[in-house]
Amino acid sequence: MIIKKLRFCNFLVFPGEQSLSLPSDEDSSLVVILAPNNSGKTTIVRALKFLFYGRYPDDCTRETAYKVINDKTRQLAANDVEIEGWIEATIERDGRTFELRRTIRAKKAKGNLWRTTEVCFEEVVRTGANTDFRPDQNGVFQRTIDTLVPEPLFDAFYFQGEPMRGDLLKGVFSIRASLAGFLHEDRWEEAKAAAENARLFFFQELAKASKGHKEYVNKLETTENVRANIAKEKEKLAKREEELEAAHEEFDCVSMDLQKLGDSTESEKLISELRQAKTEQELAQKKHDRADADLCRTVGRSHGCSFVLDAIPPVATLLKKLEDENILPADVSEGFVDRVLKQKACICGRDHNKDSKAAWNRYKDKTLTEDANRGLTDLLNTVSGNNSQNILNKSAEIEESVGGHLKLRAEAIAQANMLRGRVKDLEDKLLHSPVEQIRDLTQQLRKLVQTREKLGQDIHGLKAHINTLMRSLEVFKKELEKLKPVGVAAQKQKALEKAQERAATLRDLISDSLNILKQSFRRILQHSVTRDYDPVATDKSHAIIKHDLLPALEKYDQQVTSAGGGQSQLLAVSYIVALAKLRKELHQQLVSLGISLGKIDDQSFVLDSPFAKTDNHYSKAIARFLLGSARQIVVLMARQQWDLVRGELEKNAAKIYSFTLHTPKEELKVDLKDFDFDFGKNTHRLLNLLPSGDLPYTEISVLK
Amino acid sequence: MPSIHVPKSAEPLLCFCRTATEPADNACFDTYAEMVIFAASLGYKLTEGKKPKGQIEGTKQVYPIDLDIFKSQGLFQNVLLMALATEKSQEIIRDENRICRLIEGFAHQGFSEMETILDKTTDTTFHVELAKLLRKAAKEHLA
Repeated sequence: MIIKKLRFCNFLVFPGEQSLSLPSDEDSSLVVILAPNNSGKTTIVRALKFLFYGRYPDDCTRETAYKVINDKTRQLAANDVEIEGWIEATIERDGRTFELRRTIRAKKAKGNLWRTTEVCFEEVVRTGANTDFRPDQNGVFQRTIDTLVPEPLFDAFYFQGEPMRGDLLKGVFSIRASLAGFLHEDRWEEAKAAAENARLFFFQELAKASKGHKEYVNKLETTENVRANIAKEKEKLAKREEELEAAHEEFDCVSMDLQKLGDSTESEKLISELRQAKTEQELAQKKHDRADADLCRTVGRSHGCSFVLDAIPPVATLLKKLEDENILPADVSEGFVDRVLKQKACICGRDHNKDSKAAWNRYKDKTLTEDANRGLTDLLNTVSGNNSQNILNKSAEIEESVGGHLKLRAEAIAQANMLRGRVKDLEDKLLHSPVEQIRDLTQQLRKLVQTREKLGQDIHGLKAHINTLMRSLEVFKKELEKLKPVGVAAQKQKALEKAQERAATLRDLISDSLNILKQSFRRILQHSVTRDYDPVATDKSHAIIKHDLLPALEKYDQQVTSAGGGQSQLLAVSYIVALAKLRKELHQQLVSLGISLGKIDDQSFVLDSPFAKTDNHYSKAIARFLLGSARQIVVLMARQQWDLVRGELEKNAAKIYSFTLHTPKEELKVDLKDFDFDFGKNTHRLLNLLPSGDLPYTEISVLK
Repeated sequence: MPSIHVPKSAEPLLCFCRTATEPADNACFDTYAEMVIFAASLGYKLTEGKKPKGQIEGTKQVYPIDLDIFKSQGLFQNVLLMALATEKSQEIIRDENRICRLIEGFAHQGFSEMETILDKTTDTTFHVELAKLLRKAAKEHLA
């Protein structure tokens, strides 16, 4: 299905009528849409899903479908006036085009209460200037869409790289269920069952016709039973063989995982790192403890001296005065004066008189006790001397020392926190890795070996049993031949036998054909993915298609279980394109055989951010691959992705559009430089700043 | 013998002295005298050297500390510094009991502040807060 044009009207981020013309005239028409983040890239895919299947975007329901109508349009709407938003596509089918539109209508009531009034799906018929709408009354248009793009395949053909976190293969595996329908496996099974029913009918007729010939009927029934047994055993055999193949594959995967884990250097490295981290953790703790002890010591021995620095100036003045008065240092103490006064004579040799005693007593009033003298002398040193006792020097030392200890302590804490995280990580790694996992995997391998052995024995037994039954069947057939009636009855029986034989042949033919068809699909898909993936892979991996027709990567004959983003993405893209080609080819073959299932034309693809999570090499490889892989591919990308693949896509794209985001500055969630797209010789800023409070919207423009 | 009573407000903080019955791991002070001088110095700074009023109730958990203890532990000069700066006269030196009451008053202010700090932090980081306080005071003067 090719989409020629997409038109939006008041749909999500697109206000008014806006459109995208999508060329498809050449063998490969690549359309690139440059769209900054939050400008509506994903809206395109969501709009298609709504148009095709009526799936509402943003978790809306029928009741809340009015939210799909553009915010700005709704803001400007008057009460009780119906407004609408729609998405329309011009679709090419069987060489002619038709237009389908899905519309949401809604009304606003008082208090900004919204009500969805109608959701409809219509064909748009344009005749000259007139436009008519034909509602999809009998579901004809819906069935057409369901045939062209079955819903389970939608995610494959219109996929979103970013929401799936770049893991496109997840999307691919989810479509496995639809693959059976896609290949019409059910129809093959129905045909097989019909052929078997026909054969049974002829057998019953044959038994009825031979009613009089008891021995013949008995032999006939025995032969039929043997035949039925053979069919059952063959079915069992096919199932066992499939199981064995799956067991082989699983065995390979588990072996490889085990090999990885068994790499002892990895475990040893982890243990050694853990040991080192724990030693460093202990050292950090010691550093922390030491800093704490130093801080405690500094606080305790500071005697709070930094708090009393303001006391120094007045005390220094006071002490200076005492020094000047010859009181400090006190060479003559109060005790000495007392002792002098107790003597009869003064220290000069003359006897004490009244005046001398009064003089000594005046002096005594100013003298100091020994303790006071010692204390004040020390204090004098503390406040005035330029020595280690000086309180100002001591305070400066404390400041420096506390600063140093606090710094060391903070460093130790930061280091310990960092190491705590590292130790936990390493412990987790050790806990979740080697020993336990190796034990589990070894257990799994052991079970798988047993399963393989048992399946091998079953298959061997079944084959032997089938051979025995086949030999018995031949014997019974010969005996039946001998017991055959003669005359008119014989002719009827012969005709019925032939009819039964033909039905059996048809049933086997259908069964074999289905297997051959599957093999042929596998070959077609294999050819396609090998051609697209293998030459680009840088890690010697190559793409394979497994028996269940799903893709995988193989390296050195072992399945790759953890491919990088680039490899997975390229494999997914090439597989999806291969599927679309296979689907078209299959339908063409069925149509040529006269089995009409509705024509399946070329498929268009819309890829939202297909280069997410891929490295440079694979991004370029995917870009080159997209250029020649389908009749129509639409790629939406943000600036970072465009920068990666611009060299490949700018010249070769048939059409390039841009989405310009109009938004108030406060709504911007990304850096301004993410809006600058280099194109040609210029840089286009796909951003227009609106006044504060305005609602954001997106505008589509043509760049090429 | 004149002695300094350890104020009752010091009770929640006694474990930060190494001579306490159950000292904290981060006990900073070797003796109660050292602790009292630290608290008194802090109190002196907080009150900007204004003479404390009223009588301070002493704790019964610790015996009053003889002034001689302060003298023998090299803490007397701090005592004298605060006393002289507050009284602005050497006369105070002759009255050791007055000196003791003065120091008790300042210590009470200091211990109250220390308790407030302790309430705002955890026991294990109390010493860090005291160190930061000390450093801040030293820095103010350097600036």
